[in-house]
Amino acid sequence: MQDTGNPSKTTRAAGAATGINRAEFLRLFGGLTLFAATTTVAGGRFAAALAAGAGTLTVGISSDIKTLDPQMSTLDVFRHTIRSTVFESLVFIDPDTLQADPMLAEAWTLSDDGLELTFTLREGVTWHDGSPFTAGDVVFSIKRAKDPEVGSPFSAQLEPVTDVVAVDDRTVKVTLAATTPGILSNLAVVAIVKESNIADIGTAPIGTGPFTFVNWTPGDHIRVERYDSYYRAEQPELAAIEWRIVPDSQARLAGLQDGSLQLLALVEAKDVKQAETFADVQVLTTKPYILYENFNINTKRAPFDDKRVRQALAHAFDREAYTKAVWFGLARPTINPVPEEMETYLPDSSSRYPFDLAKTEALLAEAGFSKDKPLKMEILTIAGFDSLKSMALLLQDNLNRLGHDVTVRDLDVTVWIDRIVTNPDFDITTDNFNTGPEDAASMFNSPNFAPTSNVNQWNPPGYAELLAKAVSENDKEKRIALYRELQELVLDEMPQITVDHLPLFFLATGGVEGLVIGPSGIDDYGQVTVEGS
Amino acid sequence: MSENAPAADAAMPGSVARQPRRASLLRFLMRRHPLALGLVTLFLIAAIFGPWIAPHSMTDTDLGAALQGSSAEHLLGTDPLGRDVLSRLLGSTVVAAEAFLIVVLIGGIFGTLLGLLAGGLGGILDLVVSRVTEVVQGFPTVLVAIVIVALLGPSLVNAMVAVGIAAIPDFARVSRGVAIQLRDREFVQAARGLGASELRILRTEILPGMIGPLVVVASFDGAQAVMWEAALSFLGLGIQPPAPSFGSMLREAQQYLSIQPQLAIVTGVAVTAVILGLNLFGDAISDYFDGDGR
Repeated sequence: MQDTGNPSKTTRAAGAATGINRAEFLRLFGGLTLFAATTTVAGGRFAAALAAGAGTLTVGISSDIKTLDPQMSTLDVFRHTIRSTVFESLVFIDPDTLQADPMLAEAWTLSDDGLELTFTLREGVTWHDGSPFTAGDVVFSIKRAKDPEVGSPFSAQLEPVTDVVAVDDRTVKVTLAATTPGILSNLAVVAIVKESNIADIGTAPIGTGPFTFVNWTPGDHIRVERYDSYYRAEQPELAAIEWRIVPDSQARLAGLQDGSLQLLALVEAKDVKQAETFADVQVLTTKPYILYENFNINTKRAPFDDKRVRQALAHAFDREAYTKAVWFGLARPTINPVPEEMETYLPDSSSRYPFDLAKTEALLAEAGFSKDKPLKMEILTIAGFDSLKSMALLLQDNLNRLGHDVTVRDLDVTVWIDRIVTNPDFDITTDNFNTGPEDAASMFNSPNFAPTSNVNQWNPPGYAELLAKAVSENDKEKRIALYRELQELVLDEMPQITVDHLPLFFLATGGVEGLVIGPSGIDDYGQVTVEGS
Repeated sequence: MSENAPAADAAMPGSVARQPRRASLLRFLMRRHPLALGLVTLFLIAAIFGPWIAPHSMTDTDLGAALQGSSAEHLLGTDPLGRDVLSRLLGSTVVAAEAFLIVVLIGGIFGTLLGLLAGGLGGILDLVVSRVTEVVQGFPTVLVAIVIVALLGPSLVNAMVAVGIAAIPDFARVSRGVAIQLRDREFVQAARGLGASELRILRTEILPGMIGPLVVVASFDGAQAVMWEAALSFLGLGIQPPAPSFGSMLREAQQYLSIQPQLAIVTGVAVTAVILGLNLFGDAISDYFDGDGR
């Protein structure tokens, strides 16, 4: 390993010559850190040239998807993969303007009373099996996502929709129970699926997107290829996209350096920090409040049904220090999930619940917990999300210092989903959520806050009514006041402890161009190109 | 090896009972294996006194001091959550020693008992024990560990029970071998002639003869246990946070390789020193019982 003085141009031979790439190599031998420490100074172009020539984009992701059904998975990793390429919605939320752009719908009108939304569908759209896309597909998709028997996590977003009918082959009319300012944002996350494909959607999904599904090897990779009859004739530019599941962030970085990966989706600040030292790597980022990290609390389970306990936990976490140390200042501490950029934001609320263990102790004492009668709780966290694990460890440390009995459990994502969503069996879990488009209506109808189906199982008397009122209020000032009232309620009740807002970070090699990272986690890969560098 | 059966000695080194007094083990180690002795002494000091000599708490986080290099305050720097690395390494040594003990106790007690009975009594029992140990040996340790941890939940004890079970065949095979060699020797026959029961013969005549070889097995399997503990906790299957362990520390260090390389280097050196020391020590003990030590 000669030292050329350029950290990105040295060792390459090891991985390339033996036929395993560095990412796999490090994954296998990750334990031999000494070895890794001496050989990780890598980078360069040998492998990159091989991978890029065919117009294939190889992307590193941290965890696997769980299903191929776009109406059943809210996982971030799913949105950024299958959901962004194989399937489409009626509209796409532009990350710059945060307004709805045409997708499967080319135009829409809202009736004067705000209760009827009529979509005109794009012409010449075909499903990946060649059959034409029609209004009936939209009607089916929205009805399916709303159907309680299907159990789609997106049903919350469709709460206000009372009916959907096909007026003709290219026209769909959506009827709303009340005026719903956030309805386009909500519809942007509901994927349009094909009725005749439902039986096979778990193995051979068919969509209308720029890429067709090819295969998914659980735990290894997901692959999609160009759909030649895509309605935007010039798209997609790529021949294929392959996502490799590389849970270890260091192995992903190594893959980016040796060119076996050209794009890393959703990386953490420490990876951004480390990638800054690599030559020829670009950091792609979004607005600074696309995600928030939080602790979800099972408010149905004692003693977390007592809001004093939840408030005590909020005081036990040092958000300022966490964002500085773990996110290297790239995240913004806040206790309010609504970012200050939204006009509905409750002024000066983000700094409430400062880090104060004395307050924690006092609140827990009120709720009957002390050194002699310690609070026993388990914090769940998802394997592969290092910042979330740090959050769990920090809260654990602070509570254990007060004499409580807190354990941290790192779970594989599929097990985690079972314990959080499918069969709720948890005290507290770390999590992150999209703040959604620039509209509080979307956030308060998200799986984290929707009265009927939120992860925290929190629905105090009056909440659903207040939310319904806010969502349907057309007068701007009144609407803002109602949303502020909602935030007061959330901040007082503390069903979840928000920690920070942060942008999404992607890392790409120099040759990757044209990626649009969407605000609700749905990206546009249609114009992505990879330079065969 | 003056007494009776030099042939047996060749087949099973270190297995002969009633050998003449050797030189003291300590003096032998100082003269012939100073590195092994030094590393193991350090390991023992760290494992026994670690909690008292640690300069800081092993679990207290201090985000203001995250990822620091060496300083007077933190001799070996701090980890991503600002915890003192030296203190956590000392804590990891305690965990490693616990892993060593759990594995050697499980493997030693069950393995020796099975091997002693199988070799000493022979017959059907011998056949069954031999086949069963072979089957157990056929399972990859890490698979057994993952299954046990999946069933019982991740913890140091659960992970090490799996490694301990995997160690049983080692102890069983060695003790069986010694028992077979010794069971027909003159001093055993003499005891038998005096009317001692078979079980008494196993206990008083044969068991003492296998101490040497078993110590050798214990030191190697113990070193293996330390390595498995590190490997399993690297995967998140061992001791749970916030307790430190070589494996989980390496895993954390790896995430910050180019931001704070010292973290990986210090932890890597520590775990290497412990495992190397224990393995060298096993070699040394083996030399000693093989007769070099006389």
